[in-house]
Amino acid sequence: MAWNEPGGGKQRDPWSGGGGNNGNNNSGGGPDFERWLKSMNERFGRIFGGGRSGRGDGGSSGAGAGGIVLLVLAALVLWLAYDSVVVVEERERGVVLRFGKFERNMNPGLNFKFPRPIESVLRVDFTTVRSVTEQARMLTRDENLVVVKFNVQYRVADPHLFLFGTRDPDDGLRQATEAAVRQVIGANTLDEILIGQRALLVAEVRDVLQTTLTDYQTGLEISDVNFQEVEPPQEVKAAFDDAIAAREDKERLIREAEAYASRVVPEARGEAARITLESEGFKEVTIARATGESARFSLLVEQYRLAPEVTRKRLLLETMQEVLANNPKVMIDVSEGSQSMLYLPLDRILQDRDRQPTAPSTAASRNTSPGPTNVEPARAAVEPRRDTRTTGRESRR
Amino acid sequence: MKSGFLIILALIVLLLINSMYVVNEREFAAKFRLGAITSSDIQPGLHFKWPFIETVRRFDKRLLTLDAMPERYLTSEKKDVSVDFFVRWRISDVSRFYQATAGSEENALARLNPIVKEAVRNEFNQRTLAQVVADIRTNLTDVLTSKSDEAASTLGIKIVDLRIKRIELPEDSEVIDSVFRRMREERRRVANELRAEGQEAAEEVRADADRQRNVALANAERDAQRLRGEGEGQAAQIYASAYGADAEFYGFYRSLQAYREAFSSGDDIMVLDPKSEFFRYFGEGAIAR
Repeated sequence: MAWNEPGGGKQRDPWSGGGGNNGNNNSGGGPDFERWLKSMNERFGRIFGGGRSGRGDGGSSGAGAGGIVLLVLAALVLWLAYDSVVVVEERERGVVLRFGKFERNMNPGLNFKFPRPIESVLRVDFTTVRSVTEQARMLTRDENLVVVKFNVQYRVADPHLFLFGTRDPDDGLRQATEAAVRQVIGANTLDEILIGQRALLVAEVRDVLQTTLTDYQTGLEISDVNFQEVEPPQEVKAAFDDAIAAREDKERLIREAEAYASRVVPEARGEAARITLESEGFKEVTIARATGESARFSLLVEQYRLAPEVTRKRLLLETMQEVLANNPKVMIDVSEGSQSMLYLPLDRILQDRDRQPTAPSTAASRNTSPGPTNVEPARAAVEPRRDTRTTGRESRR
Repeated sequence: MKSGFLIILALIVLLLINSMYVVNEREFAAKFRLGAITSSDIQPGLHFKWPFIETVRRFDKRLLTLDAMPERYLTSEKKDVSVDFFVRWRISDVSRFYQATAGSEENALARLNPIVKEAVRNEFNQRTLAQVVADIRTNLTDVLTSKSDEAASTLGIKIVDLRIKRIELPEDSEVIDSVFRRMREERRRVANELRAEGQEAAEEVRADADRQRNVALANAERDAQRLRGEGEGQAAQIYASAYGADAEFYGFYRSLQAYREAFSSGDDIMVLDPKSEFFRYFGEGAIAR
């Protein structure tokens, strides 16, 4: 039962006819306060001035005293008027107590009430979002320490409860929040807190807090809970960072090994393929060569069969010619009679051979060169550079 | 005459003022007559009483807080912890409250403090630190609340809630340092384990890769030898079948080739006997054979 609707109407104020005149208007809507005031006024008048009629003219003493009364009354009335108008701001709500007892709520805008001591209004900041932030180091379930920074945002939901439920609701909420966070941190292990979902923690805190606040009759409601920081304490941060680095190291080692594998295995396969292909090539080359050579031989055999003696001789002579043409030669006649020592300066011959790329032939007739040593009697080749007897002269033509 | 009226008027006003009282929404009031409570359940609003004979005292109806300073308590493992808790309480029985505390909140807190601390101390003594910290699971706060509520009812006080804001290890002992050491050790162990696992896995991968490579190469080698063998075998067969047609001629032919190749360097010195077959037609007179 508000005296006026929100949006401010001056239609029905307690004095029915404009704010705060003196008690001259007296329609039925006004309370008996009016009459009380008037009776007091009359009484005062009777005491100090002897009746209303006596006020206008009169004894000097009466007039002076009456003037003071008038002044006091005017001030009183002004003050009452001032105290009857209440402007509630948009973000506030008002609570009106009549003689201390809850009478009604006041909405934003222009409102009227009885002046004090009859009615008083308490204002509550209703829409502003309040916030509590705290940082603390707390124990976890496995007796580890973690540093937590959290923040709660809340609003007044019920102004009546906010004013009359708890003596210090904001403080109460702060304490309840701390207790709730500690409970949630204490119920989880360090790993669960650091690595697990932060949203789960927030939800747990929110639940605990909601329940607590309902019991506390604070008239507040939570709008947001969040953890701004959840970290191991500074003193052990290095070790924790190292554990994270170790995880990355592990990944890196495995990746490096995989890179090695992806290089080595295809390389090996390539190598294997090369080996196989090489040997296939070898096989084919060998067979082809064999085929070629044996074909050549077979064709030759055909011809040989037709004239064996002649072919043999021809082949032999051709071979001998080629062989002897390309190499230095020494002819030595070793007949039964002569026992002459022949001297063959093979080393000089070899040296000359090295100097001249063409192949001159050296022939020594019998008995012409004195003292060549007898080297070998038969038709044979001498290994170059092996002869050691080197004294004497060379003979060459 | 006028001053007499004034005095009488003042007295009347005084009387009037003293016979009314207002009880606020946030208060209880109790009416006293000559020091004894006559009624204690007075609702908010405007009330009247006998002036001077009856007096009124007001008590806060709202939920109040007792927030003590943090103190040390021992757990069952003789661990020393610093506990910061708060108590939410209200006056439930005004007359008993007044009798116990003479209506002074200070007195009330002074009496409440040891009651609550006693309850906390007892409960902590029976629990390990782990149990205390995880009190969601052990209902520590519920037990504390109900126990201290029982004890506080003699004061006309109802304890609505008792909650722990902080449980801290004492700052001035080595306990915190040892906790840090333990945390560091544990992390170090985890780090080492991770790195070792990484090594192990990497070694496996590398070894497997090497194994695959060796197998591939060995297989290739094996096939290569087989192919070469096949080639050489087939070649030998071809040679044999061709040369076998005339083995003697092959010996002759192949020897000639050998001679040709052996002496191809041009550095070989040949010492020849002119009586050999090659020189049959050479020299001063062909030897008639």
